[in-house]
Amino acid sequence: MGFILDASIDRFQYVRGTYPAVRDVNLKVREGEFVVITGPAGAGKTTLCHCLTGVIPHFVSGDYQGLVRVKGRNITELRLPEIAGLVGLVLQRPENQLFNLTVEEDVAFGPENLCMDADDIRSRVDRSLAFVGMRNFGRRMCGALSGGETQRIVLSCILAMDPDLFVLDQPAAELDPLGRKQIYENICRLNRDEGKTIILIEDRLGDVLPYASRMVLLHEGRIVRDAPPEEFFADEDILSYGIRVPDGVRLHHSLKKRRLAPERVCLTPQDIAGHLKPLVRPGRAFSESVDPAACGVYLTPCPLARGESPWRPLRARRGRRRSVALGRHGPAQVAQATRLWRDTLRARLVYQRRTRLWRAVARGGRRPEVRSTAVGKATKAPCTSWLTTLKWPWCPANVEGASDRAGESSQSTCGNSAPCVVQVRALSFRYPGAERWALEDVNLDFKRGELAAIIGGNGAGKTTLAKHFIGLLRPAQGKVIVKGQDIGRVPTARISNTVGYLFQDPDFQIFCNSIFDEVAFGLKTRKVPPDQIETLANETLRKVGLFALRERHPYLLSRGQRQRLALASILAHGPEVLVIDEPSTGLDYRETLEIMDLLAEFRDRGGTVIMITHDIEMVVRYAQRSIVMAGGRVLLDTPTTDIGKYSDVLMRAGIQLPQFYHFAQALGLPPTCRDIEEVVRLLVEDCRQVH
Amino acid sequence: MPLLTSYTFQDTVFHRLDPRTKMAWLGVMLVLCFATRQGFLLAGFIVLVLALSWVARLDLKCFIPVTRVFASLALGVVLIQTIFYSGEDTPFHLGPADLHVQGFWLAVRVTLRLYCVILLFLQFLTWTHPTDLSLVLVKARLPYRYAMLIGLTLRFFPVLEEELGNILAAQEARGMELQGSMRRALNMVPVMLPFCLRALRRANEVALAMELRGYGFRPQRTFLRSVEYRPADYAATIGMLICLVAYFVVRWRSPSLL
Repeated sequence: MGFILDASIDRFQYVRGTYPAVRDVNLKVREGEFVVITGPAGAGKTTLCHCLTGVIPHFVSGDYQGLVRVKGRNITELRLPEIAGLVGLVLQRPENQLFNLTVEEDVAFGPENLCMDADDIRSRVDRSLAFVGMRNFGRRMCGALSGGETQRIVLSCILAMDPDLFVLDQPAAELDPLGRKQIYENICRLNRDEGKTIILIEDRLGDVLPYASRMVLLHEGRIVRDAPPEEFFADEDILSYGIRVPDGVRLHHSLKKRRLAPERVCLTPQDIAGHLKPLVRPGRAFSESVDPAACGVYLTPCPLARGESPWRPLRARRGRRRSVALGRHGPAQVAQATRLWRDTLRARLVYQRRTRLWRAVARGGRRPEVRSTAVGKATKAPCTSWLTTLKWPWCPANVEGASDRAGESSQSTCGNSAPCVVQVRALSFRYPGAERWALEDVNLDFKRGELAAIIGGNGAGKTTLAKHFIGLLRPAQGKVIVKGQDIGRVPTARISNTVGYLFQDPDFQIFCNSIFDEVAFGLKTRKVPPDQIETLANETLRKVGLFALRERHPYLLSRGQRQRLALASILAHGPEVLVIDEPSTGLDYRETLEIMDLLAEFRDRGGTVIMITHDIEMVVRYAQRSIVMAGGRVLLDTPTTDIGKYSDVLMRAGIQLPQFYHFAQALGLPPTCRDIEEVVRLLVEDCRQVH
Repeated sequence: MPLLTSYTFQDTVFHRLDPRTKMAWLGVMLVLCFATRQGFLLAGFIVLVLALSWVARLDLKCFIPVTRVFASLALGVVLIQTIFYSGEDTPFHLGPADLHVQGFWLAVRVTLRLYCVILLFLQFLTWTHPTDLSLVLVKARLPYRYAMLIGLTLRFFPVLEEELGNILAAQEARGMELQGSMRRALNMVPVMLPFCLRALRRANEVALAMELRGYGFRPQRTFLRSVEYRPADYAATIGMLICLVAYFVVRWRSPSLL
């Protein structure tokens, strides 16, 4: 006994669904547990949490067979408002969960419905607001809160109803790292101090690992693993589900393949350092003794297994294999270690061949050289635009510049001399009615063939800056120059020929009745001949992997597919610059990598990508250059390789370095490591020298 | 800047008044606006409304977008009436056009009256707390499920407006021409689909969120806020009624004056 939640759900299928979204789920949760439910996109996480809280079958209908008991009461027999006192559910989007004008009224909304008298309501409101650390926010308007504040208020709204079980559906999905940390700390205190039972749905496991007492993995509607964290991560196939596994776990499994890992999974940097320190040569100064070129340090951000990228020079890849082989392991271990790489390599072989061929042609048959400097000088594909390579002659940008672009591309293969595509000069901006400057004296240059990331917390001015690139906002002072032209008065529609802008929410830009029409729309407005529209749209759809679905209605796609569709609809008419706002919001790990790979490919074909994000992991992995913003100013503009040196600046901007930096630090490795594999390689190298 | 305004929190005497008093002010002013035939009085009412808003520390800037839209409309009305007025007056010749002075003054009165009404409603929205409005309706025995709808609608108007702006921006970023009023109007059609869809989805989500917080738990519910008619409210209402009566008395005595 002592189960607060006892759910056995045989199946649930949505009315228009073709397969059950959830099936054969048995979940028993004890009082005081902190359960984290995870899984890839479309695994049925939200559906499950709706089943657990009575939203299914009371609010969402479908084919449902199951029994859920909360504190012994069958919730199918209760009405939804009655369940509210037993289970508190925090939904994904915070902005739709506050529907009163002021914070105080919203927090009071639940207790008011429970018919409490004014004094009780008042004390509950005060207590709940104090709990989330927002005691003085009662009189604030809900619309004026930041994302992180809104989500904390939502939490306090549920807390005011005082349920014993909290179910939270990705409460931090849209928040910056600082906001995420605050919300998780609050949830943790709910669990530890107030003794509430927590069921949290989350796909960024690194953030919640310290708090979880039990992890549940959902895949295709079924529970495939249910164990305490250490056991949960102990098996290697956890990496194959496309979820964002903490860096510590990746490190563990990489080391395990090389027989270096400890028995149990080390989840914190201190843990793993404690285990590995004896193996590592004492007092070694990594930064001097390790020559990046010699041990195959990648010049481009280095994706892990799945994202094995085709543009990376072959030599580097060989170097990695060598370092694995040098780890004094037998052939079996080497085979195991390279298995992951091989799978993706095979899948991308065709693509890689094509890219190499094309690159060879563009370079006049010369083999690409590896250069050992960081940004810009990395061996990049020649700077020919995405457009030119696909031979789309009707785009205005292409017609006028076709010949001189060919000339440019031969001289601009090295980054620093590449022409500037977007220049920002002394840009300041203030929203009408606002007192604070949203942007202050921003100066930036974006070169052709560059993937730059603009990072910073919520409200740092990232999106405001990005909207200037396409004229959705106009500078109050200073100017924005796109391809040598000041875009001060140029209409947005015309700028969009050169600059593609992707909104954070793809649904803003999707409105046609089929996927094909959606992609063809941009071409039609640009008066492309109809026969070419067809070829072009199909070509683009193939590129983003939506060709087979082209007759479908866009709203029947998953969130990740819609994001790709929105990207395709921008790419179809061949812009040279792509500005993309939060490409990873709402996507799972695998989908994020897919989008990022597309962006990287666009970059390699000579396009410029300006990405706004607070997903630091993707920045480190894909971006050559990182621009850190806070309070409307640029705090830092640096090659991503050096970002590890600026943890203090990042801290000020509310950004945390990826976990593996902490591992690397704990192990005394140089701060230039770009991913877990690099950490592992350096470690292996070191162990080899010790033994 | 959004066209519609919404309640902004201020702690002034006017904000603390009972919503019924504010409704009375709205009612009395509407009656006066429609009763009077004198342009100077209408102009005076407009000044009065603006002055009162200023005293109540409302942000006068939020009237600007509406004023701008209204001004273009008013200009059209004035021109049309001046040129095409069909009353019995002697037109004033200016080149090929006949200008009617009476038509001009009629149009001015109409636009002033309309503008005053618009300002009154905006003022009401800006200084009346939506929940207070719901509370009054609950006191009038309307079931709270309906009474609270008003508060909700007022809360989400600006949100929807902002969303429409975002969708338009997204379409513009895809190359859709939105410059020029004709084009803009035509291109609004495809934009309405995602807008309505999103609005429906939002409505659905908000409804779920409300039920999850126990909305509809019992036929009755309590409220943290309360409204009551205080002495200030009585004084204000009586004052307004006296003005109203006085106006009609003066008008009855000398009909041409007001």
